[in-house]
Amino acid sequence: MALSCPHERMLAQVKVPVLFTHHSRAIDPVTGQLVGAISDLQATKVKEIITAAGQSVEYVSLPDAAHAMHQADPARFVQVLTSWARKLPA
Amino acid sequence: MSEKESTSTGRRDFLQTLVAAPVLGAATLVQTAQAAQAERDVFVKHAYEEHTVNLGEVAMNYVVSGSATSPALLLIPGQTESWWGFGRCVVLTTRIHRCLPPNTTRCTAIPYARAPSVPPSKRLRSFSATSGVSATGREWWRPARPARGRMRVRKGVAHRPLQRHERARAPRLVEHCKGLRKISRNTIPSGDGLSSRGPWP
Repeated sequence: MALSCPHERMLAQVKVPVLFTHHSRAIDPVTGQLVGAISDLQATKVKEIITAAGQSVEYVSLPDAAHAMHQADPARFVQVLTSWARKLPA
Repeated sequence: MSEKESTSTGRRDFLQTLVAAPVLGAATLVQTAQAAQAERDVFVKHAYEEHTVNLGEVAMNYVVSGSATSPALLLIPGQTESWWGFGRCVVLTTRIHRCLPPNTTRCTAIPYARAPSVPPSKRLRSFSATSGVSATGREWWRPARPARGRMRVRKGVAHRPLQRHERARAPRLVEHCKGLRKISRNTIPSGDGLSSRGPWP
């Protein structure tokens, strides 16, 4: 997907405030491969690009959250989402 | 009609058929999609009324919750996921939305839905062989270490009374769900469709 949809290009065109929840992730000690959707390094880069685009980005690290937190822990998902939404300008 | 005229008419009909074929083909595709949408028997009753919109290439079903005057919150499931994954979130978000000041509400939820490919009865049966699952038959309801908030949610999950054939097939699941329902009565307010009937199938 990243080949036909460059993430850095998409992120540089973000036009709305962003809530970035970073869930369970790890580096496999044997293979050195990322286990998860996105690494800490990549998350940092995402924040940099969105900030450079002039949008606010709130990063919430949830290393104990499941990848599909909205399914595994919907209460937490809603709490994180609404807490962020309350701070948005009306 | 002379032989020449007959040949000309036949050629014209043939050309018209060629020109119309793609249009007819496209119309047939749309009709087929609509017919398939109507004939699917994998849907079960939900706490939310499912709507369907024909987008041309696909027929997409979705649900809406909350006040139409509130700013919209669009919940888009990930790959291969159904809007059912957001079902509980829609309930919670709408409930929280009612507790917030009007100028801070953002709780109209419009999840996209995909028709599940496996009938609910089969999904439930497949989960009867596992432990720590809910009546929804969803594997993701089995957290490794339930947190406080997560437990509250799990208590609210087993809303759907099991049917007779399900009780016979899954005694362990019945016991598990009995406990969840018992707790849910003490933790989930009644009257909002959660105590006895959740958004799950």
